[in-house]
Amino acid sequence: MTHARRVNATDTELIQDALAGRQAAYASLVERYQSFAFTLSYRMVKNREEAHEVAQDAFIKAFKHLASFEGKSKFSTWLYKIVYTSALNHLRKNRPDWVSIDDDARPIQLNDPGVEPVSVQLEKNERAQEIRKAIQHLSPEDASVITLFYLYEKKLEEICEIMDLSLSNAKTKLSRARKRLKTIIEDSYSDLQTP
Amino acid sequence: MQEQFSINHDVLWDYLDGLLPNEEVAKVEQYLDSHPEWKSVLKSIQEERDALLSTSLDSVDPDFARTVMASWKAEMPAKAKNKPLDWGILGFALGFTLILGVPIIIFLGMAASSTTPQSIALPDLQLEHWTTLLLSPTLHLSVLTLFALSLLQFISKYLLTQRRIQALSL
Repeated sequence: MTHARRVNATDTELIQDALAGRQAAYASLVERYQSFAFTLSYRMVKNREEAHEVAQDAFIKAFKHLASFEGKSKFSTWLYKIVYTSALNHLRKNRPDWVSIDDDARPIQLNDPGVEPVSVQLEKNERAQEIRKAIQHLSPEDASVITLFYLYEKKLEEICEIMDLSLSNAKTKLSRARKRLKTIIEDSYSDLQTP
Repeated sequence: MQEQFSINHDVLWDYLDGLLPNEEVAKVEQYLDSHPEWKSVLKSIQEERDALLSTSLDSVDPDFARTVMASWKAEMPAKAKNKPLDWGILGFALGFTLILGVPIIIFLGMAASSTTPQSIALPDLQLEHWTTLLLSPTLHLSVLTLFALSLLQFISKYLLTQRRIQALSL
């Protein structure tokens, strides 16, 4: 398969080629998903170098077990599950305090319906940057659920598979993660306003 | 008695995220029509949601893919070395051998029997002994076995070489 054909090939075609021993197909899968795997990993471990290691390790694990991929779910869902699990294991090993933080104990503040939210006050071009920074302050689980749902546009059912959650639990986590994100943005904005 | 329906931030988020069932979507829309003060809340949530959707992927190191492939390549030869016997390839080779080998042996046998010792004037005992050996079923079996083993060895080496070339080339 030529480079141009590999770029247009479906995940299933690339997987079949990879399983037939064509290393170029593995390389195409890495190129296709490297940014997604790295972003999820980075948002969880909060450190670029460690995130690279985790994402690279996840790809090697995925390739080792590629023959066990049955195609019941999308390849991306299967890969993100490996990235998510690898990142959690990395955190458990290196920063157990991060994973064990009980996020439910942290307060969530909400504005009254009539009050203009802080996000509206931020300039449009700054808002996305602000959110990216705020996501870095979320717990690994919250950052994952937000990233998977809003950035990767994964369905709740797929998030359940990746994070090993029930549907109702995933919905609750998504709602809580959104509120925490909002609190973080509001806190950082009020810090900026304070002289 | 009709159930009282009210909305909150979570319901509006679920409404925008497409997580509400159809009947609740209709209720939310009805509620928003009759409570315009919630429309501004919906608008602000929509803006927050747009901002969430507009965040981009983090940039990965340019060497990322190369590093992954280098690690994967390092694992490949060991994996190939420890690869268990491929019964598919072995079966194919055996079938191929039988298809080619059996007709050859039959041909050899027929060629030998057409020149029987009785039809040839044999000058001495030594030549008679040699032709008798040519007709021997033991010889046929030995030739077939040697032929099959050589063919298997050749096919196996050819396939292994091809696989290694593919594994080591990008």
